[in-house]
Amino acid sequence: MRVPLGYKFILGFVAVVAVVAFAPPVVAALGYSPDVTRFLTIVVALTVGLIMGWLFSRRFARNIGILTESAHEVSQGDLSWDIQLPPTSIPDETHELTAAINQMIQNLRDLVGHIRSSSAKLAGASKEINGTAVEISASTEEVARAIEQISHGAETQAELVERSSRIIKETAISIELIASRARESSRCARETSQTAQRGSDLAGDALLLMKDFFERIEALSNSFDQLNNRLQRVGKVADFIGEVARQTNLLALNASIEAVRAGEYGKGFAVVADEVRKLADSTSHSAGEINDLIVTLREESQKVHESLMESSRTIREGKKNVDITAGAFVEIITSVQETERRANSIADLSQMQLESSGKMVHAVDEIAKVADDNAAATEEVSAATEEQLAAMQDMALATRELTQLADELERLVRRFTLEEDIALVETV
Amino acid sequence: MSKVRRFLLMQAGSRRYALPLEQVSEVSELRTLSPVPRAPVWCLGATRSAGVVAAVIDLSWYLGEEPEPAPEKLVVLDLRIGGLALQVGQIFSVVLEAPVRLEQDSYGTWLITPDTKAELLDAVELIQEISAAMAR
Repeated sequence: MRVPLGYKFILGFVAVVAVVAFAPPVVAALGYSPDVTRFLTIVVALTVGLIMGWLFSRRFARNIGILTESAHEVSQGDLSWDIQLPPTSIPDETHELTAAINQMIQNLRDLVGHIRSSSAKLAGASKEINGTAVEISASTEEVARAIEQISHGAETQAELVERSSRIIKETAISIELIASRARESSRCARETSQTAQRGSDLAGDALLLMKDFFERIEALSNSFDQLNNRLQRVGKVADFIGEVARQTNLLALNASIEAVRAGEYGKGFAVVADEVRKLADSTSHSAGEINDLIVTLREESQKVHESLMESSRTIREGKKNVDITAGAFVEIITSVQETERRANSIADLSQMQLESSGKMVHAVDEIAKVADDNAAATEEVSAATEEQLAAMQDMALATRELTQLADELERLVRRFTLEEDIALVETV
Repeated sequence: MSKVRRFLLMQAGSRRYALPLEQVSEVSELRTLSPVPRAPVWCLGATRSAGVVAAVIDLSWYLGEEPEPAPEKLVVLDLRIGGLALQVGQIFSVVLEAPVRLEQDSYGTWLITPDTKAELLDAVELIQEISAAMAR
């Protein structure tokens, strides 16, 4: 039966009052003097009061002491045990307080265990988050580097596209020049064709003139042959005259000898013989001169003939060259006409290329614009990635701090000793 | 009135010689010669002139030079002096004494003309010397 503590005090007070009220008659019945009786009455009342007070306060003080000790141990963090009050048939508020404190301890135990579990989980989670944040940070750094490279590549691409655009524009100008040159080449080829046609006509005229020249050369050669034959005959006549003169000279010489042998009678004959010998000498000399002249003439005519033959050979070679030239002119005309056709084709193709290059320039400008946009976008992405990296680094720092806080919390919570800790210690 | 002499100018080897025309019997072309056995090398053979056999000698070779390189004429000496013919090179001319002059020195007698200088030969001495040489 539960008796409140107040009731117990009231009951004790009533008992003391009752002792005080009923003690004097009891003591008086003992037959002592009034003074002794009063004294004894006081002593009995005090004794009964003390005993009743001790009886009433002893259990209370013990329970309070136990509770105080338990509270002190709880304050030291020992939550490993429940407060056990001695069993009584008359529980009071201390028992309720004990039950409440035990409930509080149990709640504290659950709370600490929950906190410890949560702090451990929090530490683990924060470590995982930290690790993940570090990995994300590393990945973000790689992404940032990649994006930076992409940005750099985009800038390079933009520059290259710009350069390509410039080159294509220059190429377009070159193509325009090529088209212009091709048109000029076509015009030149047409003029060359006309010139080659004139050259071919002139070569044909030259061939006709050469044919006439060859006929004249042949006639001249025949004339030279006839002249040589006649000179040869004249030479033979001159040789004969020279031989006659020589014989005459010899005869005149011998006539002179005979005239000398004839003495005075041969003087006139000697004069005649001398004159004959002189004439023979003169004739022989003239015949020699004629022979020399004939030889000279023959040599000269031979030279002229050889020169004519050489000229004829040269001109024949020249005729071959003219033939080749005429053929070459024909080939030139064919080739130049082909060249004109190809030059026109080149001009047409160049015009097409020019149009295509214009479209290409437009497309490259579009590409350049897209490349610029890409470069700007990659720069923005790079900046965002850098911000993300900073955020991830902040998050990693925060998770590190969170881990430290969880560790600190766990360390603080570990001040409380739980039953499983004792079981763990006993197991160990 | 002095007698006008005539000389025959001829070339033998590298030298020029002159013969009095009265010591010459004939000037002819080269002929086919008959060989003469045991004769000196400058004796080229024998030929016939006006019915007389004459020995033919190479004048240049005989006078100590090389054999006549280009023989042209045969000069037959007066057959009354001896039967001798000289194979020579070119016969230049017959010259009169008047426009020329004769000079004599220790080497012999020289016929001097405005154009040339020729050694004067004497047919008699020549025939005697050749006869003596051939007799050796």
